[in-house]
Amino acid sequence: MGSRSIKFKLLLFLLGMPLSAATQVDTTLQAPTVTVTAGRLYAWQPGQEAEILDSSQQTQAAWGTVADVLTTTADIFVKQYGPANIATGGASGLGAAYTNVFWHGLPLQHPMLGVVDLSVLPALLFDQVVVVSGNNSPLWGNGAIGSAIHLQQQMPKQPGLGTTYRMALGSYGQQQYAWTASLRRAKWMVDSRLFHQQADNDYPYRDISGEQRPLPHAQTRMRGVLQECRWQPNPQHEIGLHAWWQHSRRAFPPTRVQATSLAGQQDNDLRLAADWKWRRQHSHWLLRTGLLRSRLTYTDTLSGIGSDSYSHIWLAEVDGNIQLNDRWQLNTGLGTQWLGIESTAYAQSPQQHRLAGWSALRYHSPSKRWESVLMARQEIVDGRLIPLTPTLHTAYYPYNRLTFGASFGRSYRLPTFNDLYWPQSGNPELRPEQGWQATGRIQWQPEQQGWTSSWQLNLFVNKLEQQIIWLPRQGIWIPQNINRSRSHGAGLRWKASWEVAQGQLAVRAQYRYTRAVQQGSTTAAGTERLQVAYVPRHRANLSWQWQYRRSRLAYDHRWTGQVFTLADRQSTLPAYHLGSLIVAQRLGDARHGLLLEINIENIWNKDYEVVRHYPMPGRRWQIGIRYRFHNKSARKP
Amino acid sequence: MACTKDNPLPTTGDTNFGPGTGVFILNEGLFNQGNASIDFFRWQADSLQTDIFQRQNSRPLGDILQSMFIVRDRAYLVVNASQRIEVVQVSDFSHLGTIEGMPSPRYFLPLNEQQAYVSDLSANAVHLVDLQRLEVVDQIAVPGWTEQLLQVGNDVYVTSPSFFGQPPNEQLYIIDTQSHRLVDSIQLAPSPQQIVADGDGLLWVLCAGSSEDNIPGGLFRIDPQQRAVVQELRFADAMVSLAPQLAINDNGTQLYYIQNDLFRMPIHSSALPTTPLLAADGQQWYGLGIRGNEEIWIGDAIDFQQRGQVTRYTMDGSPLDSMTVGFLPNGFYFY
Repeated sequence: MGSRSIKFKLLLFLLGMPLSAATQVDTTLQAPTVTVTAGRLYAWQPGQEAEILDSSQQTQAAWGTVADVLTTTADIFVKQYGPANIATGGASGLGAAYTNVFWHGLPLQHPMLGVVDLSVLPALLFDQVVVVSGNNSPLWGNGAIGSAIHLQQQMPKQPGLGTTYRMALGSYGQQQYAWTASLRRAKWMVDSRLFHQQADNDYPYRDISGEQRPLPHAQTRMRGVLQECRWQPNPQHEIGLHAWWQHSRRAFPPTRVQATSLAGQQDNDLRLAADWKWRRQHSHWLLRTGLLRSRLTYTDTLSGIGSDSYSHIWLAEVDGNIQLNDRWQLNTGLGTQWLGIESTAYAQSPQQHRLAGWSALRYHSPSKRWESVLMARQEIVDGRLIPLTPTLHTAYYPYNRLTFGASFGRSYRLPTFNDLYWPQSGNPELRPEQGWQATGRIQWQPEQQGWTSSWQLNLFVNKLEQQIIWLPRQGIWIPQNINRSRSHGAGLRWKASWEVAQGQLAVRAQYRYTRAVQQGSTTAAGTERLQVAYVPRHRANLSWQWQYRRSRLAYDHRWTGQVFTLADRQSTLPAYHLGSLIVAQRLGDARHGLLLEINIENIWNKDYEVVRHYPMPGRRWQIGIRYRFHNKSARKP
Repeated sequence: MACTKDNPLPTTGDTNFGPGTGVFILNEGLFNQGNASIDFFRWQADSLQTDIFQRQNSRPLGDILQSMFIVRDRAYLVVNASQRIEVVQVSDFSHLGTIEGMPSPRYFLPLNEQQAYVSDLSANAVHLVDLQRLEVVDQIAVPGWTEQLLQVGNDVYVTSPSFFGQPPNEQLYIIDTQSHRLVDSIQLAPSPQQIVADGDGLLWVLCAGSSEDNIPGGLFRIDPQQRAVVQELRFADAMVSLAPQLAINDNGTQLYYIQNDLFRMPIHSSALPTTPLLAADGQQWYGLGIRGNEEIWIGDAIDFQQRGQVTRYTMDGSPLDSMTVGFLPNGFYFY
């Protein structure tokens, strides 16, 4: 362990000492503050479902990454290559390239790769993960066809100074240290979060010869800081400044079929955003700018392969919600992005400029039982017009507890920088992938005595054309717009909670059916109607939580159905069950709160793989403590 | 095609792989999928047995089967991305042992019954392996990627393809088998890849060239006594197949090479053929084998996503039959 690492951990420890600091009240006893960080996140897609992964789900996965959080919902299939390896998420029968992740409206998809590595997004930095399933292209642009995932922080609701220190230890060398502090005054608030987490990940596995040994070369290290500042000089204006710096270092272990590995990767990311919200009598405006700088360094001293890549994204946009009258509302916006890459893999340093305009018109009936939103996006990339992407949403509310929603619209995905500019192979003539999607949903919250519940049924149909696939042509691999895919499916979600004695029992069940097929030159004869590889046809989650005074017991069970692993659909990975248990106990009062948590992942010690030949860990545990202190301010808010 | 036999029924009960009974089809597998395999086509039964290693040993072979060599009663299977050589009893393909300690092994050349050389993609060396102890005992430093090996007397000729992103390599290296040291090199064209010996005792090397620098490759004829190039036949352009292949018939009179299409050239020809013997017509030819003086075998990787196809032809290019094999058939070992 280097000296810089020791100093960083010491800093975290000292900052966590409860001297003059104050701590926020445990959020399990207080309704969290929902922070709308993007004006067009909510209410403009009534035909689609948006699932907010709440604090109870977060807690079970809070010691891990956003990938772990998303495994708690059946809407996203997280393709995990192991705790020390990458993880990506796909939805609606589509792969990871069709799901984008946003932070303060900034897209986190890597321009070269076109995917987001969820395993380098620590869960503890974010209080909410909002998953909007389905086509998000009109509002959020490129790469958000399967779903859009928004990472959000909650701003403190109560005035005063609060701090939380958390530490966790776990199996296979897991360690986590984090410190958060927030200060809220009448007109401004500041929230700071520092973290360090590491693991050896040397869990036992069997290689292809059947020999069991600890997984070698699998260490991970992540550290970073997230800073949020908001200033509200008057009720009409709010200015936000946001900064997120992070360094990740991972050693990639061998697969079951490899003897050794010396591959590894470092990610250095700096993300800056600033926004200005202006509230007028009949309109709200958001002006936002952001800068994302990322360095990805991959090395493999065994094979002599390596690359060092810098990506830069700068964006600026203005977004406005205008209340035209009692029934009509308009959202309109204009945004520009500049993307640039410097990489040892490229002969040159390509750049790209995107300009997009979007607009959404919402109408609701006088009774407010019915509303519709018509939206469209037009994007220009390096002077080339991308096809217009319109979408129509509609929702009907026959009474307060019942909702019917539907949407139909067009989607698109741009070629990545690797598709366009890879040496010798890049194809600048590639066209955007295009498609159409329809969704439907029914949501019902029956009225009951003594308990609450909600049911939600979601349906989707996807059609995608001109999919990009790399194929060899005269000795060179070249990306081409050849493939097509079709997918459809349904999801059922049920939530319920009861007040029992002096406690609360909450249950959540979810099932997802997805049917996805692909056609094109890569389709083996006779496989056109078979499920696409690594898209499970069936997935289900069941979780329950018992909260009694200051104690909490929670269990989460997941089942993932069999998947094909190759294009010929002859190799499969079997279905698997996973269970996790968490026991938590809070000590102290509203000002001083100590939370002790014990988490057992894969409690049934299942031997399973999400991706063939990448072994996953068996049963593992984590013990964590959180100390929270809150000092209410004497000043009026 | 005269006839197509798609995936003949495997005779799973027959595990006798004796000399002269058939041909081993090497299926490289998809990278990182661990689905390399070996199939066996039996002459007498005219049938294909698939995945014989897995069937006999109840486990996968590994990731990227690059090559195979039989020494007496043992077969050495070089599994490149699994960083090992699996050793099996040829007669029934039962597993005997494993040679490890090589970062990226490629080809195997026995020097005698006790020792062998193994080339390597990333080690900047040729490994010296003890075949009794099944372990690497020495490294012979060679700059760059070492690929195919061919012995002439006390010299072993080593091809060395260019590596992506690095300056092109143009050297054919020579190792002395007495001292196990690199002793000489011959300048050819960028990316020497494949090497065979002809009926006159001369060597032929296929160089892929450099499409990045637009330098064509070609065929180079080498006199091993002089360690010099005696004939140079350059390709018309720098576009070659994804996996250039070079083979020769049993009596060493006809060269066959794949440069997208299949070409045939007598060894005494003074120019490259202008028309192919067989046109690929969009197929992704990935493996080439010549059975004696009778048949041409070609492996088609199709789209590098699904199982491959092997077609055999007469020496004049007339198709005989084809069969579905494992993923990315890259070679044939006629036994």
